[in-house]
Amino acid sequence: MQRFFAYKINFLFGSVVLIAMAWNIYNIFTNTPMIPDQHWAQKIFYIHVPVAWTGFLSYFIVMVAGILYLINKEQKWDRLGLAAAEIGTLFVTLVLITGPIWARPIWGTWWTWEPRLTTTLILFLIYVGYFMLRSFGGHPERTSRYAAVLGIIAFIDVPIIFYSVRFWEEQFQSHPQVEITQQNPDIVVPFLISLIIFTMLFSLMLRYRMHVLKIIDPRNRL
Amino acid sequence: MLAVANINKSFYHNPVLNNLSFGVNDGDVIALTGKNGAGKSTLLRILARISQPDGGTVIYNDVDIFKGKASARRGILYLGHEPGLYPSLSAIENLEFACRIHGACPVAEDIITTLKNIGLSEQINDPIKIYSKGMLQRLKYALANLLPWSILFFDEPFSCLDIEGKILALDCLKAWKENDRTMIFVTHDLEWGLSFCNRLLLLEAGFLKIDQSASSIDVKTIMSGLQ
Amino acid sequence: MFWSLVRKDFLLESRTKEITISMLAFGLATVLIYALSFSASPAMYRSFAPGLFWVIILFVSALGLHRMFVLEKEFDAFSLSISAPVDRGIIYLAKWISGTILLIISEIVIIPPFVMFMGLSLPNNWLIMIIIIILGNLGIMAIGSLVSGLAMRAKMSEILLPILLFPLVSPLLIASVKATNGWFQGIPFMNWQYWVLLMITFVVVFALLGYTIFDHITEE
Repeated sequence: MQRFFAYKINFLFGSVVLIAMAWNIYNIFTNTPMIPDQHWAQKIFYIHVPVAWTGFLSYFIVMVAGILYLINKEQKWDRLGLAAAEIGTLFVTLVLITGPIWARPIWGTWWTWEPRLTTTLILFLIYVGYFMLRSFGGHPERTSRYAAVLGIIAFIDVPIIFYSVRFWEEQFQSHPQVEITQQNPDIVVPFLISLIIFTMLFSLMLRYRMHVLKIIDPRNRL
Repeated sequence: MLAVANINKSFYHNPVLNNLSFGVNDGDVIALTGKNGAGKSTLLRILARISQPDGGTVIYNDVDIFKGKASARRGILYLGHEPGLYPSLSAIENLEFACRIHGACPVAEDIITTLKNIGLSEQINDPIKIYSKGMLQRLKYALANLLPWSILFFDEPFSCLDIEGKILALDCLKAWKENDRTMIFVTHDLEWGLSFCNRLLLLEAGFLKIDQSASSIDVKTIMSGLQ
Repeated sequence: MFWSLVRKDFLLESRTKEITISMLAFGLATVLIYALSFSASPAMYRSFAPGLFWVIILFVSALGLHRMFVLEKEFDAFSLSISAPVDRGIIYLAKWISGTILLIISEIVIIPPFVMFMGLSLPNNWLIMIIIIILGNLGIMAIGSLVSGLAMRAKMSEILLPILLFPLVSPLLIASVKATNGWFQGIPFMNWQYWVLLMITFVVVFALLGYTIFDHITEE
């Protein structure tokens, strides 16, 4: 097996994503409207929300990979689950970092128990447990199975977590940008573009990580 | 009765069982032997569905035990290294529970009689954690005498037994054999294995090196096979 | 089969009394610590009490769950249940129900001192609170039995279990505290029925999930 970027298609895709992301960041800073109360801090929205959505997409993939692994025990599903869990946790960590960066200028506090942020925090902690299970659960043949089950449990819990946190404390309103579809196109279009580009980045990272996991799998080294 | 096909099992990426395949017919009495670490106990635990293989199938009475319903596994009895019973419960309570979950209706008198026959007439109401290893081993025989089984997986049938215990054990085994029961024993006692069983399976580093009828093989051949 | 398994759990518990005694002793110790660490006015206790109560129950449950599954590991006793022709989902259901009942028994001992030390005066309609407690216990044990199955064979299982359990059970915790608070403050049921519904949803979803998926985590 070659290195990931030695494959033409990966190199091409990687280049496209890199350029697109650079353009995306530039676009966010130059072409998006300045919101009166929030100024530069609001720009985080174009990163924070796409990263959050892809993080949750990632965890959804962990659940699907888990189900598929339990059904037919193929290693590729286990690799997909692990890769998606790692990237999802990375993205979710970014959400937990960009959240306070957005919150501080607007609400004056670093942390707020805003429903979606709280849901993200809980999910982050669930996945800390996921990685501990992978490390301490025993031999890898067993931990693959257990991790698949935990991935399923975790994502099924997500809607319940969200609906509990949403009405938990009335004073913790959602972030100012609530209904994306009701915003004007100057905001929606860059947002959707950012979302697409982050999803492409996610896809690249996922494929890369799966490739690495396949190479380092002791079963593939003969 | 039992068809084992392409069983693979690894621990920490070290293969312990490699593409194992063999069949078991009604009435077979099999000695499963091999060096320490060859995978014998692991294989037995897979057959009892306590451990899951990484690949392969185990078909019992035409049903895949890993995919089929639990009731399709009726008739399988596993007696492992460990007692496989609750240390805080008494012998009677343990046997009663075991009977119930194997689908039998236990009668107290039968349980007590069985325990007496195996030399465990005292301390039958005490928690089994006070039992010696030999007594715990005898308890396994009581279990096998009480439960309705079609195939028995027994890991080290003579482990920790004193002379009296061994005689009682041999009597039980002889009775089961005379009744054409199907049994697989993990044993290191090659002489007993060859004299009692009608088939011998030798595992070496997870591979099935020998699968022959016991009458067609002798200890010397096995020992050279182990090298 | 289900009742044989539940009976076995109760028989084990009546012999050892490990689970209930450790749960209620730990619960009482925690109540004491809370009472000592908050030198608070009765009004403050009133506002903290629902949350404190459920946190204690959660800690106590984690302890109890761990003990329940450790008992299965001694002498490899669990292999008896899993090698028998018993549906693995039934094994899960039995653990779920036994755990819930043992937790309720411990709570009978923990609640009176809790109420006393916090100086709480309780409303009269106890039935609703009993239902809330039972629902909360069912929920914790539903997901707890599943997660204990995962942690059972792991290294550091006593620490892995709460790490896995607590975030997963957080929506139930929120709902239980909200419902308890609603009852405690005498708020009309209409205003907090949402939380009871959420608790019921949690119990149903995870009991079903546990029943379906437990098979995959019983084997070595």
